[in-house]
Amino acid sequence: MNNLTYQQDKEVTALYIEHKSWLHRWLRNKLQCDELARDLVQSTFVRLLLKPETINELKQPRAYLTTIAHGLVNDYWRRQHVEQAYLEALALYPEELCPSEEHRAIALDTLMELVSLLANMKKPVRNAFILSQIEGLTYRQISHKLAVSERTIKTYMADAMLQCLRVKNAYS
Amino acid sequence: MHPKHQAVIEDQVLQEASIWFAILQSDNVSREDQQKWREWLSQHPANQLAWEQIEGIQAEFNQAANSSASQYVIKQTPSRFFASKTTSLFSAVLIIIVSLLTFSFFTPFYSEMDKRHFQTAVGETRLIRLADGTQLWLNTNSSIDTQFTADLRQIILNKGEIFISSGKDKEYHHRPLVVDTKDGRLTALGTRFNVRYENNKTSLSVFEGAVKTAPSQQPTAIITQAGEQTIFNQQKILTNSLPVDPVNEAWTNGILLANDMPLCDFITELNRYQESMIICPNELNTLRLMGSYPLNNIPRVLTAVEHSLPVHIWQVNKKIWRIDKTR
Repeated sequence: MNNLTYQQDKEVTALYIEHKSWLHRWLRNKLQCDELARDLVQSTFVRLLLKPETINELKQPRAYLTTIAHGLVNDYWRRQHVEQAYLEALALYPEELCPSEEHRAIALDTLMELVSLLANMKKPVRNAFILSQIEGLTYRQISHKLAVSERTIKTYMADAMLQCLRVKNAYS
Repeated sequence: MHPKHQAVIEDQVLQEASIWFAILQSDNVSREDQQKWREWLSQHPANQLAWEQIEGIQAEFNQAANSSASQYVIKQTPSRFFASKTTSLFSAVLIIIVSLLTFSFFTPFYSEMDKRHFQTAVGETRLIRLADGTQLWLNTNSSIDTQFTADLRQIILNKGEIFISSGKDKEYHHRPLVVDTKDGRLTALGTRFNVRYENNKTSLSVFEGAVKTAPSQQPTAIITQAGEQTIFNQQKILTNSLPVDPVNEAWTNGILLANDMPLCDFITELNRYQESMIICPNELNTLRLMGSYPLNNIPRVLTAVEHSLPVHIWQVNKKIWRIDKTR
């Protein structure tokens, strides 16, 4: 983490004091859980601290904080979903039953990462990418399935990979 | 998300790398393209770095592709968890670049829709083979609609009973197979199972694999494993984890199986297969039957019942028969 200047530190503290209560209310309303809302308020400000360069130019802190918090809420639901679906999958595929705790944690982390990468894509792009990379279909097969030209599939694939690369490089 | 490399690569390089990725993933990559790609790779260390990242990303997806559980999670993730973003200007530009960079051709536009209706008369059972290899038995007085789309094999059970031995769907790599009744949705994965819809409830018996049950008015779903039976309606699961009854499979072989079955339950089952109706007074329910009875020859079944139990069956009128204790 970058070191904060004295000025930035003061600003974050001020922001925290001013905004934490409405943010907490907003999150509690979204999540219907006080405890969780409190956690995510903290996480929101941690995100802010990770990008100190944005603090100085924060013109609309309310909107900015809401955007971060909104992203965190999405992450939270996504993780809930992935964990639930993974447990279901283990029940459905007995051959993969009972992985060790460690294996399970790694598999879940990878899945969360993949789902987050896919989350940035538009639906047709995501579908094409899943069919290619997860299901191993050729462009021709994908183009039949999605009823678009092979050339479009190629565009989708480039678009999908770019989204992944941008996330990996902390763009976007 | 943490970048794997310290240096952040310029977006321009990422864009070029993505286009090369899309070209090299094509079904037929020309030597010329491969040569050009190698040249691009050697032009700048950043290009190489971006390419390594691509290989890393591919490896991660490949890992998921090798695990049925991971595949399941990704395919089960509904769109709302993939919050979609608005089209970027970049996509538009990319379309132009890719079309300039590559020669490709259009394939004819066709959508893979297959909508069909099947039904059986009273007393009729029918075996249907679907395009994906799935075998489907339709029991007496039943009706279904099937609809196969690019991402779903849907069977709608309007009334009656079906037994499914699901095919692997090699062509499209495991499109989910679902059975919908008014009560909710059943999702199968490589299984043999029976679904019966009557009196506003649906009963599911799983003989192989597993089936997911989601009542239509309930947000959660349960999984029924092989050897288990689940009964549900629109609101909720009524019974769960009962052992399966072989009777729910035997009918596909034209047999009504009675394993210590109360007589009136047996008659109720039998009535499903004929236009006329046999009335069984409740007091006869203490009598029980054992054996397999051919569904295609009901008079023979009735004679067999009269032989094994102290009852006789007589005709009341054109449509109604009655079973009584022999005095």
